[in-house]
Amino acid sequence: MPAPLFIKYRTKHGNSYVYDCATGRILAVDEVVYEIIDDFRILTDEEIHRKHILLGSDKVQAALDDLYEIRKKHHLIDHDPKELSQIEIVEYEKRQYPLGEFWKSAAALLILGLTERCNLDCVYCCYSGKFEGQRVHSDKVMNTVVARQAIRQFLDGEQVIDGIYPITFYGGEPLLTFYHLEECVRFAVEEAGRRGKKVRFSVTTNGTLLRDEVCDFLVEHDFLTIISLDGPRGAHDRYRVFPDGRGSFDLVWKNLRRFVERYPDYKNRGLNITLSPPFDLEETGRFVEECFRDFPLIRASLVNIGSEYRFENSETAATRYGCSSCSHCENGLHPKEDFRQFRDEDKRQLKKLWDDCLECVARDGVAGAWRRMPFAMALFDSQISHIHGRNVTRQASEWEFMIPCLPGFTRRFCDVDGNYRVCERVDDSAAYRLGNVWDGLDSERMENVLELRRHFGDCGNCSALKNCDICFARIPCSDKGREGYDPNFDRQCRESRQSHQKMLQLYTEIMEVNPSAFERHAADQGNSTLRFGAPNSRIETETRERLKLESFHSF
Amino acid sequence: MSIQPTGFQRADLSLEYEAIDETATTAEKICCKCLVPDQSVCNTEGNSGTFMTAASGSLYSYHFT
Repeated sequence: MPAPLFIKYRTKHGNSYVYDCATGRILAVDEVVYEIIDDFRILTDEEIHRKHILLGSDKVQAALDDLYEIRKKHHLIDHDPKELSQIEIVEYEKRQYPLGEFWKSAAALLILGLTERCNLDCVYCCYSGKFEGQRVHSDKVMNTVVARQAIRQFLDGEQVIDGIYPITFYGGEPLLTFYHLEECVRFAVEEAGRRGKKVRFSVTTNGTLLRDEVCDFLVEHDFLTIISLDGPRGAHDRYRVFPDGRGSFDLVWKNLRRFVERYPDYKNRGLNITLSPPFDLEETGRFVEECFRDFPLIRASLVNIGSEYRFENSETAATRYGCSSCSHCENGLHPKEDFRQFRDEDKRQLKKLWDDCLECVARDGVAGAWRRMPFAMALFDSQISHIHGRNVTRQASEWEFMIPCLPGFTRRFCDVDGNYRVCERVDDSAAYRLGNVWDGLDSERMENVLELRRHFGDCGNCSALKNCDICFARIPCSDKGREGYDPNFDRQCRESRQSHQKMLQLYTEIMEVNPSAFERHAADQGNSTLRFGAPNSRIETETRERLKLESFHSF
Repeated sequence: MSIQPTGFQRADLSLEYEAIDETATTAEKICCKCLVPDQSVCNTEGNSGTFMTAASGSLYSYHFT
């Protein structure tokens, strides 16, 4: 019998809640509702009365009446799980497109992988050759003709974000081919102007090549410039090293200070901080606070070894690319670097920072927390604010399936060879190739990529349906995944659901004590994402075993 | 009433979703979440962001990753 899909939970303040998975709304409930709701619409009312006789017949009846009453207001409607099927139609800007046509006509962000060369040899780099399924650094440089073709195709597409066409440059180290980057920018500006469109640029760099003329060019073209800097010298030099093992901090820091002195008022720059064990989060926090004024766009994240394995106690932590059991590991070719080993002390520091951050958000709100704890917020804000920013609907006439991105649209990554890929972070699987600059995007390939999500299990019955955060970059070795069941997928789903549930509780606890905690004000704004925005993709499941991508402009 | 919607959500959700002001210029649109006018640097990473026009208060929804 179809029944509502919900999550029930209690907060530390002793209150009971039900999260309605259909609408995304949080309902405060009394103890009787909390007790009987698991059986609601599963058992008959009579059976519920018999089962919960100790609660008192009058109270149970009152709770049932209220449950039926609130369903009239479109809460707790029955959930009828559907099999995920083909996507056929995309609605965007009030127009409908066959999926293939839409994919070919628009993208929210073009990422040009200018080169696979890098002048650093960072220990944790996924292109270091230690990660199964990933490409390795090479001397390849993108051909100018390839770059121009990719830019042309991007600009020929429909406008996505107010007529701004964001282009970002990626590597290897993109500034190793600065001449090429300059050429691409000039070409893009010229081509955009010819079409009456605007382009906007960003680059992520290791900061070793930020010479004056480079800074001049970036500022002249209002680049969003993100520099990878892992904290003070000790933390940074532990893993971000030149091929001869020397740390890169001194050079990067010198370049950053000169950049700031040369352009003290330029705020369109930030830091990308990768936190790798062993931690000294207090020291890193102090360092980040010192940098915050000159580099207001700060993002911090834990080293990329795969969140699903991060705090496992196994000696050799697996990577998100399935490294723990790869042939390199078995043959002892993978050194057990420290960056994969989270000590108890690291976990303790993280836990303390997390707790302090939650307390600060509850007390001072998100805006206040950014002022007081910018480093912690750079690390945790997106996680803490995720539930607040969830999709909430007035009605839930149809079930919807959210995916973090629509391949080929949210990001369009062009590699040095001119292949289009889902994004710069997915593994090197052939399955993630979406086409190329010569033939354009291949609808069939993109649909196949979307179908990879089927392997994530029972999306139709998932309580995190509207908050799924599993992106394609978290699907390891997709070529293998397509062949069948992979337990890693289930594991990721399970952990994503658990995390969603925990965050619901923490979010509610914050809102109980400070209902305006998540209000932000422009003047308080301390941080911005390091990436250009792109629409999430929204898929609604329908009874006719058909998926339809709904408008990005409606809830 | 033993069940009560909490309103623990973005404040803008009380507005009519259909009320999108399509005439608003970029400068008039602000993110409901971070209140930054320029959505290209909105900090709603990993979440859906919703923009509203400052003048009318009507929604201009957009999702960001």
